This record gives sequence, structure tokens and C-alpha cells, in this order.
Amino acid sequence: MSMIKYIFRRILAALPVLFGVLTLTFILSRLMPGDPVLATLPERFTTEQYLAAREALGLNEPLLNQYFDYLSRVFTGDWGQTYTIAKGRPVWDIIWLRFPRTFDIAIFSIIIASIIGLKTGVIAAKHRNKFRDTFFRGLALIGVSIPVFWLGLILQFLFGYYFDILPAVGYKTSGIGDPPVITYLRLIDCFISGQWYLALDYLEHLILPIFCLSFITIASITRQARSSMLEVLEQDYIRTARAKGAKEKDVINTHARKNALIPSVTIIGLNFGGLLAGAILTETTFNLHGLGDALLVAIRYTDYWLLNGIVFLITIIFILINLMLDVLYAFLDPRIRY
Amino acid sequence: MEDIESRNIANLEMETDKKKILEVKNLKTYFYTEEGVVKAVDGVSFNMYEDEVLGLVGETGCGKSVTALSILQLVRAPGEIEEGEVIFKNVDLLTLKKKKMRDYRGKDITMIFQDPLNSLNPVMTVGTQVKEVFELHQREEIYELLDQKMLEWKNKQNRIKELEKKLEDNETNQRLTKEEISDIKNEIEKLEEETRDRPTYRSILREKSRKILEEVGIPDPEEILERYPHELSGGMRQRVMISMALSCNPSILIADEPTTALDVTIQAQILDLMKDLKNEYKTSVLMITHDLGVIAEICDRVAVMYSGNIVEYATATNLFKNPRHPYTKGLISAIPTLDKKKKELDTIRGSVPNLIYPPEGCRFHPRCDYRLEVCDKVRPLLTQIGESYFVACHLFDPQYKDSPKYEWGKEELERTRKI
Repeated sequence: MSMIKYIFRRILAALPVLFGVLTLTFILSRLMPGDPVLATLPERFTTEQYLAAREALGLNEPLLNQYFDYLSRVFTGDWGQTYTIAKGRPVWDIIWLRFPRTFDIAIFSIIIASIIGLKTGVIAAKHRNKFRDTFFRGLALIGVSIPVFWLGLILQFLFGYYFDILPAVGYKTSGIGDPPVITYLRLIDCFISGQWYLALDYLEHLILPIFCLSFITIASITRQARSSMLEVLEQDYIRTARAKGAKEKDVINTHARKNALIPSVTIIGLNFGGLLAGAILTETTFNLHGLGDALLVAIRYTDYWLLNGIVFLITIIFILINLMLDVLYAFLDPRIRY
Repeated sequence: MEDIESRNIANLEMETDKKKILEVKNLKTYFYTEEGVVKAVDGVSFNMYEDEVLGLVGETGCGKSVTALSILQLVRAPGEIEEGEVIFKNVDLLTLKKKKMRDYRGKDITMIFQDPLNSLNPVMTVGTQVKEVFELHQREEIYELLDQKMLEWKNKQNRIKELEKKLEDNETNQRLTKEEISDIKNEIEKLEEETRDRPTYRSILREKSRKILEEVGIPDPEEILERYPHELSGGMRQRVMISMALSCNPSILIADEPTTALDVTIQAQILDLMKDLKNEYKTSVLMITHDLGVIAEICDRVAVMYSGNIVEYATATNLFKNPRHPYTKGLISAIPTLDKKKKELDTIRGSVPNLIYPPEGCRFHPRCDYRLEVCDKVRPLLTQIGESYFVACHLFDPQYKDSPKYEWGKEELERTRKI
């Protein structure tokens, strides 16, 4: 019960954060250079056209009026319309279309990265300063240092062109069609409607971006898992376990792992948040039309409503993930109670 | 040099009719740090006898904990056991393979530690941690017990069937009296009560854990088994540690400052408990402490350590009555007493030597008021000077009885006072 109370309290505490983020993005987007009106006009236009368009966007109102207008609309569920990606469509529609794709990539990447990263981190810690440790640490160092777009380009060149075994860009083979939209998650929609070839095609397109993103995520998880495992292995209770006559395998698996998992979970959560917020570079490199790609367009053409909407969504995602992490800590560590 | 040392060690026998159970010979444990080699334990030798408590006393950093960890080979990197022998029941533990050594840990030789909060795993329940020891070392015994209990259980079940049959037969031929029928019914009820839970591996494990917690004076052990370490008090935690250490009825219990992290009333309780349990289980105890009060309370013999060496090794009574080594003398005179009202407490001047570059000769010589000319040149070895009394000091070596006393310069004295 106290847990539900705690979650409720945390959600209430998040409201000022949401408010602050809305205000800040509103101000920052207005300070951004560039004229949003231009994006809505044809290449050649008259002054009358320009003024009419400006009036239509509501930009002639005093700034403070615009701000309060926006605030009230956001909290009633109307996030405004975009005028770049699809003219006049609600920002919500764009998010519904773009976010599921980002979500697919993020969830696959984080699952793969967690499994591999935690494992390699523990192996590295177990064989501290031996070959395996040096090897995984080296790999992790490369992982955190490589620019993700460079890795993406290399992968595209190798697998999409040189070996020619995987599609290099996009999320579907052009002209292959779409499944009926049921859950907005393409993979699940494919399964529900029984169009296996579409699912397969989709997965095929996701392999390279997922590899790309999980590689850099694995690197940071490995580093965290290794260092927290090493720290735990120094603890007195590990000495107690050894003094009891426990096997080294059991010392690691039953005594150390759960303790070492707690800091690693933080890193996994933050990485997941980052991935859900849209991996702009990766999505652009692979031309995936995800959330990050939409964000880029919004910034480039000063699409106020789209930009504010996406930033607001990202804020909500991070707040929820932090909340999830805190709940998860309580399960991992009995000392934490809310 | 080596020759003298080995001769010296061979002589380290105490006059006692008790059986020798552990023999530590010339143990050396060094730590290879970036600043240099720390000689934490540098040639330590002592014996432990059955059903006795040996106190290992010395100030922080003198190597007493490392000595204990070396016996169980739990010294962490960069520490390494350089040489020596640890002979337990005719087996040199230091020559054993890792797997074989694990069988001794937690079963024949067990250990409890200074800080019971950090020594218990915070994310595992007390029950899981206590059960682990039984599972590691008594698996076969538990299965044997399970077979036995299963047999009993089955016999009782058969008996119930038999009795029920009797009652059934009675319905046709009416041979039993009313009293007999009620007796049988009562017996069936009693047996059903007893056989309600089928014995399992887990139930036996649980029963054993409950019993051992009861043994160390934990009230409501059923409940405590489900708790996490942070939910218990310091004294309770140390009791749990002790219960784990005693669960396999060990020959030797190493207690590394078991009362240091506890407050004084709990200290007394834990010491009493250890005394009782020691008498009950006939376990030899190696009591590591810096508290001479604890030594006086519980120990039969004492080894005083200074800077990685044992400097005095004797029975507790003799040691307190007549300490010989200047360091021990200093320690004992530093205990505050109620009858002598002095403004300042006695101290030993100077501070503990650096273990990377320990002083030449006797390691205590820079702080010693009785220093001889020879003290910074020749290292003294433990030699017998009386019945069950060994001391490592040139003052008691007839070979150096003519060595002149060292004259402390004023400046030297001043320098050490300031520290």
C-alpha cells in the first residue's frame, strides 16, 4: 500500500517538472532563429500571403497570450498541429506514428544490451586484470568512444553493400505494404494479422540499427556492471560467504550479483530513456522515420508545436523511467522501503 | 638465520596435557602494493590446543587479522601468503588445493568478524544465509535424517491404516468395548496430528536453522529467519554470525574482534555467549582483539603481536601477573585504573612502525625504554624463559646479558614524544 502511495506522491511531484519543461521549451523555441511561417508557404509568395499565414498560425498574438493558450491546450490534451511533416495534422498523430518504431528499436536494443552487458561486466570483474577483463574493457572503451553514425555507416557499407545480406536503410522494403494498424506497434500488428513475411521484413530492417544502438549501450552497461561487481566483491559479506566455504561460482551468483545489480539497473534505465527519446543520429543514418527523426525535422524548420510536443513526451518518458527505477530498487534491495 | 628460526619454532610447545589442534609455523603474509611490500605478518608461530581460547592481541595494524585470514586463506589480493605452515589435524592447509580447502572453511574452521552488519549479506534473509552453511557442509547428513524421518512418517501412516481397519472390522463383529474404541480414535487423532506435514529436505533445513538460532539465544527464531540483517540489532546480528559459525560444530572458531563494533552491554552478552558455547561445543577459539579486558575475561593463553611478529606468548594468568616484554608491559600499564588517580594515562611513546620499511633488529626498539645496544642490530626470536612462557626480547637472552643499555639522546626522546 505504501508503494502505491509513494508512486502517487512521485507523480504529483513530477507536475512542477512538467510545467517547468513546458515553459522552458516554449521560451527556447521562440528564441530559436528561423521563421516557422516560411515552412508553410510555397516557394514564391506575396506579403499578403505571408501575413495571412502568420495570422493563421496565431503568431500575431502577444507572446504571453500564446504561452497561456499553449499551456491550457496541452493540459487538455491538444498538443497543436504540425505544419512541416504532414501539414495540419495534430502533433499527437505524428507521435503515434513515429514513437512505436522508436519504441521497437529501443526495447530490442536495451534487452540485448542488458543481457550481454551484465554478463560481460561480471566476467570482466571475475577475471580482473586477466585477458578476458582486458578484452571486454577494450571492447567497452571502443563502444563508448565510437560515434554511432560512423558505426552505422560502416555497418551499412559492410552488410548492406559489400556483403549485401541486409537492407541498409528504411524500415520496410518499398511497396511491400503495411499491416492494419491495431496496436501501432508494427511487429505486433503483423503478428496479429498473420502477415509473417511483413514481420520478417521489418525485423530484417531493424537488425543493423539495433546492433548499432546495442553495441554502444552494451559498452556502458559492461563498464558499470564490472565496477559495481568489483566493489561488491570487496565487501565484508563476500568474505563471510567465502569463510563459509562457498564455491567461487556461488559467491558471485548468489551473494554478489543481486547487490551489484542495483547500480547497473540505474544505467540500464537511463540508457533506455535515452533510446526511447529517439536516437536521432541512428534514426537519421538508417532513415527510420522515428521520433528522433521527427525531432530533427521540427528543429530544422522551427515547427513550434511539434518540437514542444516531442520534448514534452521525452520529459514524461524520463519521469516514468525514473519512477520505475525507484520501484525496482525496492525489489532488489530490502533496505529500501517507501 | 633460518636454522635458528626452525629450532626456535620446534620449541614452542606449551606444558599442557591438552591435545594440540592447530599449529602455525613461521607464517609470512606480504602485501604487494605500489609503494612497496607490506610485511603484515612476518614469521608468526603459535599453537592452539583443544578446548582452549587463545587470545591474539595487539594494536591496529599489527597483523592480527591478517594472521587469522591467512589461516583460512582468505587474504585478498594484493596480499599473498609467502611461506609457513598451518597444520590442522596433521594436514598442512597451505598445501591443499582450493576445492579441498573449501571443505575446511565453515565446517572445521569457522570465522566471525568485527562488523556484523557488513558481514551479513544485506539482500538475503537471515534464513537463507544460515541455511547455506548446512547446505554446503551437511547435505549428506540432512538426506540421512530425511530418510530416517520419512521411515518414521511412513510407519506412523501405516499404523493409522491399521487402526482404521480395526475400527472397520469392529463394525461387523462388535468385539471392542467402548473404551477401546475411544482409545483407538484418540491414537489416530494423535498420529494424524504428527504426520500432517510430510518431512522434506527444506523442512529439515528449516528445523536445523531454527535450532541453531535458538542455541545462540535469539528469541522467536522462526520470525528472525524471515528477516533481513538490517532489521536486527547489532547484538542480534553478531548472534546470527555466531550461529552460522557454530552450525557445523567446528574444531576452531576464529573470532576477529567480535565485540569491537558493539556497545558495552552487548559486548558482555556476546562474550558470555561465546564462553558458554565454547564449553558446550568444545570448540577452540582464536580470539583476536585489541582489548586486554576481553583477553582477561575469556582467554586461556595469549599471544601478543607487534608489527607482524609475536613478541610474547604465555598463559593468560602468567602474562597479566608478570608481563616480560617491554611492549606488553607498556600495554598493561596503559590500562586506566580506578584506584590510582593520575592526571595522565601511561602511553607507549612513538607510533606503530611502517610495515614497508620496518625497523632493523627488534621492531619495537625505537619505542623501547629498556633498549640495549644490540636491539637495532639483531632480531630477537621467541624463546622459552619459563614454564609455558615465551618472549622475543634480548633482555631475556643470556647471550646478550652483557650488552650495554642504549642511551637515549634527548633529541631522540623529544622526537618520539611529539608523535
